[in-house]
Amino acid sequence: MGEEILTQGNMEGLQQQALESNSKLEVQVPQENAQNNELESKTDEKPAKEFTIKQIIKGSDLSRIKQLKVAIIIDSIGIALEMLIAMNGLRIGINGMKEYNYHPFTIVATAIGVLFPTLLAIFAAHLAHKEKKEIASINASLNEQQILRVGERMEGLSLDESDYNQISEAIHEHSFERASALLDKLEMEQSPKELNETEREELKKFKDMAIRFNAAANNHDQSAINSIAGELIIAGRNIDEEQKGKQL
Amino acid sequence: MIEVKDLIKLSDDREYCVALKTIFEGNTYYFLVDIDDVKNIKVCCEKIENNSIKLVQIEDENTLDRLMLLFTETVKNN
Repeated sequence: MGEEILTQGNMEGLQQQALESNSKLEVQVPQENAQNNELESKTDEKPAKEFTIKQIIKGSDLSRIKQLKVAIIIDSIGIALEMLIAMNGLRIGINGMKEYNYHPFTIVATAIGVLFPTLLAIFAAHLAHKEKKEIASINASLNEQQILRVGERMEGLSLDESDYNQISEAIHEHSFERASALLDKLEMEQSPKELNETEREELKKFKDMAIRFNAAANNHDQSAINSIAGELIIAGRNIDEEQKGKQL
Repeated sequence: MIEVKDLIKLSDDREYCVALKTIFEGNTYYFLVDIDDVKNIKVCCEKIENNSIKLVQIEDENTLDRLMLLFTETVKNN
């Protein structure tokens, strides 16, 4: 029983302690909330930067100029990273050598030894970039000239929507050979047909007859008008028959 | 699937080329360079939510240091 009384007393004591501690906790809660609020406000200041992807263009689908631009950027980043790592390694190395009291000459020689290949690589890369940039600018100017030439040729032709779209597509893809072939075909189709020797002679005969007919009509020479009209009808029939023969 | 040399247009309406790519602790990280402003560089982690890819920019310096070493390894391997 005595133990029970003691236990009960202990229980009461513990309950009292719990109550007290609860009241302490209650007092502490607002502080915690305040800390949380501070944290929240801090996270509000620096939210994680999230980006959604609007479009992905595969490297192979890029225009040649953009492909070159991307290649130049990637090369530059590669060199910059290697340089960064080399410099970092060198810094650590020099600090280590200083700690072990190496002779300054040894430190300088080591630094040159480490940096020389990197500097050489940078110089080589610089030359390569220069060359790439020149190629890119040459390509750009060549493309510009070719586009102008295609434009000039397009002006001389009557194009429907399909022809226009096909040529525009070829220019967009920098396929100037295809654009040129399309223009060649259209020019062939639209150019006036050249006359052969016989056709030229016939045309001349018709022109002569037309002049004579005109003169006869001006002079009111009825017999000449009849005679020339007869010649014209015969010549017209001959042409009709020739064309029918060709068609057959 | 984003690969090195691809060009991506992000929600900030800028075009970035994927200069480097590495996998670290099961996540894929990209080194992106703005093709019109090469000083605008982003190191991003790929997150796939509801079948769409999101890129979260890494700003923690320790993570960035470790990633730079990994990116350098990929440069050496290429």
